[in-house]
Amino acid sequence: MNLRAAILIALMSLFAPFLADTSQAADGPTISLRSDSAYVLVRVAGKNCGFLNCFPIFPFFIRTLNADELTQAALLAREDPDHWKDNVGPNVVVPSADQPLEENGSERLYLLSLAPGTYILGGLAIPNLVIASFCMGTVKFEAKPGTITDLGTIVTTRDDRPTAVPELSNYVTGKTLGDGIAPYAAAILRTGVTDLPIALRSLPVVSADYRAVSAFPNYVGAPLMRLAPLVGVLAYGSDGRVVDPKP
Amino acid sequence: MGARLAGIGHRAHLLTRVAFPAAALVFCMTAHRASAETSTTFQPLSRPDIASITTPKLETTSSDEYFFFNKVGTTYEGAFSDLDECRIYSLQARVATTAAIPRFVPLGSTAVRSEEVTPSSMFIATFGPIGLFVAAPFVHSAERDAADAADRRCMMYKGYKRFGTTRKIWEEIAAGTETETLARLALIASGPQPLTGAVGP
Repeated sequence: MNLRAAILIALMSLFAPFLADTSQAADGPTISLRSDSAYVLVRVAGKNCGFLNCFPIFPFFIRTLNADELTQAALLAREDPDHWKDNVGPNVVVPSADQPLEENGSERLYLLSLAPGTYILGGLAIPNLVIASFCMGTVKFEAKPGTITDLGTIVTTRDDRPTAVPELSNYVTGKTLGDGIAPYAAAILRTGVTDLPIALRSLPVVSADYRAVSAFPNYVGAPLMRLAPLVGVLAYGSDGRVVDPKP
Repeated sequence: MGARLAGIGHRAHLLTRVAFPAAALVFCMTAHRASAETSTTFQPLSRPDIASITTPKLETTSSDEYFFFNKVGTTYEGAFSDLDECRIYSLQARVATTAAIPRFVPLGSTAVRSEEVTPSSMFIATFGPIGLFVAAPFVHSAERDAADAADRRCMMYKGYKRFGTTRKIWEEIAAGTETETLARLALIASGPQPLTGAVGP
């Protein structure tokens, strides 16, 4: 990270708005599920460290929109170009970084409540700011009502340096591309449902059924990245296009 | 596209003293106005006929600042499409530090750039116009870095290698319209791969 970017991070993190759209279960004696809500369980490993501080890294999820929702958003944008995004229903979900269900070193476990639907793993964020957009390849999953969908573990590391993280050691670029901010790479580990916290073991938990998602516009404008290949789910051709191995 | 159109380093002394503060003030005013705009749609460029494109005689160097791309086995049409897609991605890139977490993403719509929060609007809201004046050099540089990085990473993902060249050759490639520049880069990208001058992703 260059000095200018570091100065900007320090300044912007002071006042950037926090726009989360979710409720989250922190550590507690019991957890009950609502039948009309979906739930996501995700472990995240990795931190973003600058000159002054280290921030937890977490994923953000984008709910896919149906045609009616897109039409409605377009109408609102035409009617009120300056404030339409204040009036449209949110579809981005992020964990509250300071409320993990469990924390073990740099690994944190989050349980999120969200609207049922199909979500894509949109990228990575630190509190208030997006640091990676997986707009050139990622995965999606279904979050069903009354059920906890286990996303496994998302491991993250800087992309501009060699890494000892096994899942990413052959994937990171290992050098800077001139980025103003350190880019971050991520991979998904399918940890399954075997290492659940005790509080969740009596609840309905299913492993995420991931599907590949092709490149899409960088709506967020964050550093352009893509999720590391996921065996049997996500691959990339020599032309960079997403390959979906599933039938 | 390709190398940034930098080269202002040789004139930095004069720019720093006189021109840059003035430009920064203009930037403060225009950037804040841009923050009130709604999303922008980026359209692909029309590919020129290959017969109408001429390229300079290439020379490779170890330059990391002036460069072109090449990929064995690609066609002019394919390279133009790839370069154009990465051009749009670079236009969508924002300063990473100001890419605030959005509450709504129009997933499924055409390529747009969110203008919810810009560096200038946030600095003005917090520190006033003077604050933005002070921060403008950092913001402008960081935005340019973000666009360059998006372009290079996009082309890397698409399997292109990068080759350094001279400033003079780069200026010949970059002459004319954006479409003409892209067409020259596409013709070069689909031509014979240089034996030297590979500078990594």
